[in-house]
Amino acid sequence: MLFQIDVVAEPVPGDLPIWLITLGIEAMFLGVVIHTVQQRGLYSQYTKRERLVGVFGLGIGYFFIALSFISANFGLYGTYLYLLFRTVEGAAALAIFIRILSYFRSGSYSTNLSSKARHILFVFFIMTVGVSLLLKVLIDDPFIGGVWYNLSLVYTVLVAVLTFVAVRWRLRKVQADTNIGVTGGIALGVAGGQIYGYSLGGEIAILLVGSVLYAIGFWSAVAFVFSDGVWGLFSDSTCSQCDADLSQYNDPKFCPQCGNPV
Amino acid sequence: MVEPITQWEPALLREIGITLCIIAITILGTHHIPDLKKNPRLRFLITASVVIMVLGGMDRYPVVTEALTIAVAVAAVGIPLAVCTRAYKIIVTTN
Repeated sequence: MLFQIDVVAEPVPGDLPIWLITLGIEAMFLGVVIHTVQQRGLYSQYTKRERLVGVFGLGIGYFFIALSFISANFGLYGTYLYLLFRTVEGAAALAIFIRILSYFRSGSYSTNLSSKARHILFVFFIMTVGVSLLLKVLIDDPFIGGVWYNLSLVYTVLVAVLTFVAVRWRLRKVQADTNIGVTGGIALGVAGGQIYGYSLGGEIAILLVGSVLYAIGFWSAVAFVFSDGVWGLFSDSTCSQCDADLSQYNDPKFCPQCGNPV
Repeated sequence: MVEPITQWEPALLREIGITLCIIAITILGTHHIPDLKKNPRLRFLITASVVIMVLGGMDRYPVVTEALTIAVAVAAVGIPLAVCTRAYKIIVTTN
């Protein structure tokens, strides 16, 4: 269990990470299939029974085939998803610096504050429920198993839920291009990888590699943004041919006035 | 007591998965043949024949099973990679 007390406590329930990863793979596949079918307008071609057999057969069939090759590699796949997401998180960390920069430049905070506030409140709500349950375990009688079992159970579920919510939030802009199943599946997989019971050595190695990938994600995003994003604010934004002001257009490839390549 | 699905033999899981996928693909595929579309019994027979042929062929030609497993593995690895790459691109281009 990453960032957790795995040396003394295993994830409870023990099968939760495995099921989260498996359901994540299934949700991703179904999300892609449904998205493709909707995009190509294939849905209306088939009768209700055919659709049922198609979705059931392909969905459950894929589930079993995926399970056959992943059944010995749950930890490996969970690690892959976790590391992949750490890279995206590293890139996303740049956003806060860009917002501070734009705040000082323009005096306004350019983001959707209401959706962000809802997300923060939701995370706060989950944290509050989790901490209340942890306190209840400590001060009250065991309500499921022993004290240590209950603590591990609450902590495992809390970390899984928080990871799921965090990944869904981070991938919210991709959802418009794909499907809720795809982003939800990735979130389930990353949550499964987060609470998977690795060995201590493996856990430390994953944390180190994750930190390196986080840094790579951050600095590569810095390189991209500062190469033509932020530096573009200070560069000459007029057309070389007709001297038209290009700063009012969002990253134009051609001059809208004369058609000259920018 | 029945073992959880996650602990079943990989070969058994693969066979069940391939069977279900073939049934679905055959049913969806035969939709486009007008004679079969109106004859559910014939459609069922053809689906059963394809399933038996493929499952029988899997023993003789293990490369089919391997190819299918690799395709599923590529999908399982490729889908999150594509989504995360897209998320990365959005983060970089919207800032």
